Amino acid sequence: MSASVQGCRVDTPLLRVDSLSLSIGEDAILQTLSFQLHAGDTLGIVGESGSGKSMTALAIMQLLPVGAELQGSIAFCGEELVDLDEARMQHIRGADIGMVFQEPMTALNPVHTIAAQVAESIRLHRGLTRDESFTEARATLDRVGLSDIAGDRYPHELSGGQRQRVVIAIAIACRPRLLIADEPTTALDVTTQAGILALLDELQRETGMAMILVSHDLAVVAKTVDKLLVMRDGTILDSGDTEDIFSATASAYTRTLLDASTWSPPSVSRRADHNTVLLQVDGLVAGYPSGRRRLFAPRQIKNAVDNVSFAVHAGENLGLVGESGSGKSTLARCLLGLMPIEAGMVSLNGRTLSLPKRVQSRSQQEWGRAVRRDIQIVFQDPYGSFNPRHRVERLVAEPLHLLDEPMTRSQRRQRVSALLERVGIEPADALGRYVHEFSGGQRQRIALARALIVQPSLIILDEAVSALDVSVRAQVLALLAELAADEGLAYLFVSHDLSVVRNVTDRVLVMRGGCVVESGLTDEVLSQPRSAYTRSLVDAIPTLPVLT
Amino acid sequence: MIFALKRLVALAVTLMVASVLVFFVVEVVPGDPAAYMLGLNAAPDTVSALRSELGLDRTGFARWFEWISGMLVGDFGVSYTYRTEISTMVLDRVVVSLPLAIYALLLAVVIAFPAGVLAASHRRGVGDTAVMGFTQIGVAIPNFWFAMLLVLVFAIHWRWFPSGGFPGWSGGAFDALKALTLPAIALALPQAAILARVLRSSLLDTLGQDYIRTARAKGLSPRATLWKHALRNAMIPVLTIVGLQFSFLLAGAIIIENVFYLPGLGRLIFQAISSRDLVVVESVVMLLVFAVVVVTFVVDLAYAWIDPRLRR
Repeated sequence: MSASVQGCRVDTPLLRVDSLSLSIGEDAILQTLSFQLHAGDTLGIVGESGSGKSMTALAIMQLLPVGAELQGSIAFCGEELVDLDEARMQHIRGADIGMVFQEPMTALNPVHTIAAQVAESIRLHRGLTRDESFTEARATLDRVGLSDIAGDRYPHELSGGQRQRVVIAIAIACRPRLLIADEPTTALDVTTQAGILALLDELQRETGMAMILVSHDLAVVAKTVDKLLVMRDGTILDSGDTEDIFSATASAYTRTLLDASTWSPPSVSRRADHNTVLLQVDGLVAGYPSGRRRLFAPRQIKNAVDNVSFAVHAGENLGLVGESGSGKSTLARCLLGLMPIEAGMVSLNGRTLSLPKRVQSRSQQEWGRAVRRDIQIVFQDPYGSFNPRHRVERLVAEPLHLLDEPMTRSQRRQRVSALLERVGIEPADALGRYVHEFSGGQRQRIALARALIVQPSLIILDEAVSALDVSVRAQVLALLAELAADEGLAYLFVSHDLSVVRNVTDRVLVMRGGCVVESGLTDEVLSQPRSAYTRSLVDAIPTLPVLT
Repeated sequence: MIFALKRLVALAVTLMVASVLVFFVVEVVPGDPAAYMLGLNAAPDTVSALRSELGLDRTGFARWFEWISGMLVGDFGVSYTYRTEISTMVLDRVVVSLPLAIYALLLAVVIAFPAGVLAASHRRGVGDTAVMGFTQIGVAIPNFWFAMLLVLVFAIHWRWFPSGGFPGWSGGAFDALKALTLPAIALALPQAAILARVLRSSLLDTLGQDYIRTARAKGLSPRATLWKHALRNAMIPVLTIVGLQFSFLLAGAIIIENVFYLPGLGRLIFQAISSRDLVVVESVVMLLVFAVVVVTFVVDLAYAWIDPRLRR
């Protein structure tokens, strides 16, 4: 500990950022930021992607990408960090300032055990022997709620929430004075998120460390932090006590953010026709091979979807919620014919589409073709779900091969243009471009155009708005509502985000371990959940204080 | 442990299948081996005499079984051309080719590692540019040309090393290794260049991972991060290449063997094919298959040692 920052004077702020500017090449990332933080304070930094919130966190850690240029001052306990000698900075990182990252699946080294990764930090800063550091690491793992996980486990053997606890253990192992958590719960389920937030809160109260919580989600920070910075385009738009920010004094942008995160469609769009059953699912069972492979025994199937039945009516908005591993995505894949089903039946518009694979005589291709004319999907990741080497025209036109009559080039272009226009993308400009030239929200619009081109009656939205910023998400949700009203589309809205599901769906199915544990009208299920599981999900939703 | 056993079973099965393929492709497919060996103008009597001498009048399966069970106990049969035990012939060559392959591979690794690490840790810097430039040349230069250059400089001009031939191991390891040094360098250079490039790109890939940032956030220096966190994760593609290179060096050194007049396996196969000594071809090919499969097995074990996710 000798080399780390000793206790700072009472009147010195723990962290003082003064006129901090950051540029990478020609781009100004941060512009004259100033804020400070005292020992034990909790500061939230909120903003949409590109606002510079993560860069602010990395600037404090002095872990900026190559080519980044910093100006201004970052003083930690009175010591200037900008242009600080790297060797000195290494004593501060991990010892005095700990950091937790967004993506627990990749933040841990896959080839080292979790105890070794925690112990490394301890040994580095506290000069303990190997054995002592492992004992200490064990205690730290216990502290973050992993007492039943052996230290010699590897990251891939742990769930996302458990891994994030390991990352937190690494960050707090040397009892830092400041913990920076950059989107620590964004990649996690609501219930896991609630657990991690509670843990951070508890650790902070116990150790008296200060904390900076960076998030795009106002609701997540609202509960946890005393002070808040709202950032946009590298500048601070609002700063002050959390309560004040949520009151009328906030800037127009902050109010837009608040409104957008509680967006719900105008009620006119809810016009489901409950007499017409569009999609009927009966006793669906599907799964993956599991366990050891034996030479002559049939492979064991682990049922990811176990005896699920439900119906989607024409024009209806059905929500499908559950934590990761609950079988939501498997169910979606079965409906699209991307996965064979073990038992049960799926019928669309009264036509039976799929039978269990043992009975099924038609080739899977033919079956998939029939399904995909009527059911289309929009995936979660607007970056990974397009072929990066195809132009937008080709991407959107791709499903047209499902139509019986081939189209001429000009007909095709016309149709693609019309659809792009329909989803709010300027076709003249977009047709010849590649997807990487578009923002996340625009890509989801293009994905929607691709889904709409064969005029399906049902679109599966598999976490389709989860990766989007709140304001963009609100725009996409508004577009979906508008399309539903105009085209009579039905949606199957697969999501782990209950606040969105609450706002946009008519009915909801709650899945757990492959089974439907509860279903009914969304308002009823979420306001008076009957099953304990649904209640835990609902309780874990972070909520925003009501605007005054 | 279970992982190793599984790989071992896979190894045995692979060898079995390979032996069938090698045997039938060489002996069954191209018509009558006896006629093939004796040439176009052989008298039918001579051919049939050879057929019964070689045991070709028996069924394919019986011959395969005899061949493979002989190999298992070290009896490779007798060469038709030289009328000597194949096992002794092969052994004479293996004592040259195997040390040469190991020597060359060690050299390649010793050159490639510092170069790859240097290039990756100073991306776009002077070191990186230099390494990328040299490796480009290393990949492009034909190794026989480089071998002749080595002979000119180190054997003829400076007389540090012999220009060719192999004195055998009986005269002492020093002279034998000295004779193998120039060939090993000639073989190692292009391999080192490839390996350095693979290591560099694999390391750069790894250095961009989230867990590297976690390691830096712990307070590790860039150097410690590279050695403790990046290198092991970057080893999988490098090991794959090393495994392939070893197999290649063992049998593919024929040009270098010719340049340096080394009695290696490559030349043996070449001679056996040109004199239609099919029994020798089969046995040597099978031996090489065995070597490749064993190397693959070792590489698989190394994968599992490196990456716990592969221990299934």
